[in-house]
Amino acid sequence: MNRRSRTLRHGLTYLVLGIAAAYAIFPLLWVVLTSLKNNRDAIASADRAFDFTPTWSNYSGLFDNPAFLSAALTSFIVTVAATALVVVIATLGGYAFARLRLPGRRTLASLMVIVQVIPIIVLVIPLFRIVSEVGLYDRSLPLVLIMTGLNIPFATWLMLAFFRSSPVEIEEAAAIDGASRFQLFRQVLIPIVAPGMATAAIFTAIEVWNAFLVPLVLGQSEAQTLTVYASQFITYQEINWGPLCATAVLIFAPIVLFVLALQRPLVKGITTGSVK
Amino acid sequence: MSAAPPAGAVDVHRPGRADTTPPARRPRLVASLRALGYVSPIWVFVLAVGIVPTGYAVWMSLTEQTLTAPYPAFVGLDNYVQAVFTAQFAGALGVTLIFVLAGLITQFVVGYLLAVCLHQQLRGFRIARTILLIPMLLTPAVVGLTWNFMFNPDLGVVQAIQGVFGIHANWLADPTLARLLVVMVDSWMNVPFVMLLVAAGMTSLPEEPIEAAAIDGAGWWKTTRYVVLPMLRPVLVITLLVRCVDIARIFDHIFTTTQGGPGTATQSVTLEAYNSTFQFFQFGHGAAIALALALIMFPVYFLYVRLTKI
Repeated sequence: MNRRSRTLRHGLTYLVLGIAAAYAIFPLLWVVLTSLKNNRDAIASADRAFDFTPTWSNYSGLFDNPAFLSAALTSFIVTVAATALVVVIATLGGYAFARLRLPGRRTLASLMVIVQVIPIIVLVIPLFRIVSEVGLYDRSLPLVLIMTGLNIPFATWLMLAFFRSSPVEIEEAAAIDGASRFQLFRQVLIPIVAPGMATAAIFTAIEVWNAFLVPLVLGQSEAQTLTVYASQFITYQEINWGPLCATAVLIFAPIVLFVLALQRPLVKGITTGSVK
Repeated sequence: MSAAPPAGAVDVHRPGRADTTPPARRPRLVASLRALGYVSPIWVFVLAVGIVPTGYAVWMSLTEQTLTAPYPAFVGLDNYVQAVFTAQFAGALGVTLIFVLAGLITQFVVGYLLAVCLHQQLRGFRIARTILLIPMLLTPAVVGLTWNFMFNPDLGVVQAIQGVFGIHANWLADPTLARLLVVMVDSWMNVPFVMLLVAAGMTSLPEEPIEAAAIDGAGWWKTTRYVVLPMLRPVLVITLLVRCVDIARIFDHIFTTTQGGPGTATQSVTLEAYNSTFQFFQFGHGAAIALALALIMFPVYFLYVRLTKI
């Protein structure tokens, strides 16, 4: 390949990637920009987009708003609790799938895939009835349990892949040395698959944090999550775009930080969990 | 991910090598029971969150389940007749199909193109990858809100940009444009997903056939068509199925952009089931609509289970 066509190819590649990156980032920058405007500037025509005095008032307004704080707390608690449950359950399950003679392996695997692919609406309609019947409507507990159940399959496949890719010989050596099962798990296996557990935790946390349909149906006020809180800005009356954009920024912020800090395990997790 | 997590496509049937239980000392039964113990929480959750609700949904779809009828009566297939074999359901199904087809085409064409660009691994490509990774992990419902804002007919930035070209289309009020908007939002989030999986697939391809094609004088298109794409097929098929399953149950960002409107122009099947259930309190209708979607998707699920060797 001669030099001119090489230069052309590189130029084109950079052009395409540049356009794609700009397209990917633009909506986010626009939301951040709007979140720093007062109500008058936020609804001003877009050709005066940069003609404003930045203000933190939208953010301070949210932090003075009990409904927002309650939603943030609910989202945080549900995310942390479901993630912890999923990681423990998926680590044990991934180990059993990868290493043990497991009766009913095929049946369980098929049921797990059903949970992964079934439209959530099929589950959420009866779950609403069940949760209301047992008097847990609008509480955090059912949100935690349902989000845990929905996220177990993916995390388990991820852990299964991580156990598969770790050498069996270390475990065999530990077993020969007379390590108990607990010691084996605690001192040999956990350190080996710790990166896998971290990856499973990140993905589960993002999924639970992002969840919308389940909390929309099961928690309207007491157990309202941030996603449901944000969706309620859209009304038929006036929409307060400034506070809405500030809310969006606060919901996006932890995810963006995760991506910036942990892109390697994220890329590995997406590709391992999906196509292997 | 948008999106529901990509499913695990790992072969769970390869028998577990090296069960570290010494077989001579422990009887098989104990080992099996222990293994079951390890997966017992999964059984509990899968049954409680997946299987029992699905069974309950089937029962709900066969009974009269309104707020005015506290003791549900068995009504056979009435709910299906009233809610599924209707023009409205056909419309929702058609809209969903449009989203699936338009979304898949957009996401695979653009995602493949971007994967090719990333795969050159030119200096600085990781910066582009990092930026492109962000949309696919963001909250779909809230992404919908931000696009709703950008496309607002009174003060949105899109209004201002198209105004420069003398266009004054109202994206949220025009049926075709509203559908296009839904596909755009879905693709904004999921083009990066396709890109990432295809790029990972490309990295793991053997070099020799591609080099051989180049030596034989095949151009980029011929190499792609006859060498790269066939080798990428397993990756492409799985990615396609994951996206197909995901778009077919599309809900979150429609709910916060068009809310199914204008009229029912963007009302997907999930949205219709949601409205029947939680706006009109026709639980039987909602369950029937939701189950109809699951039934229609069954061949895709079947293919998915087969291909992931589960």
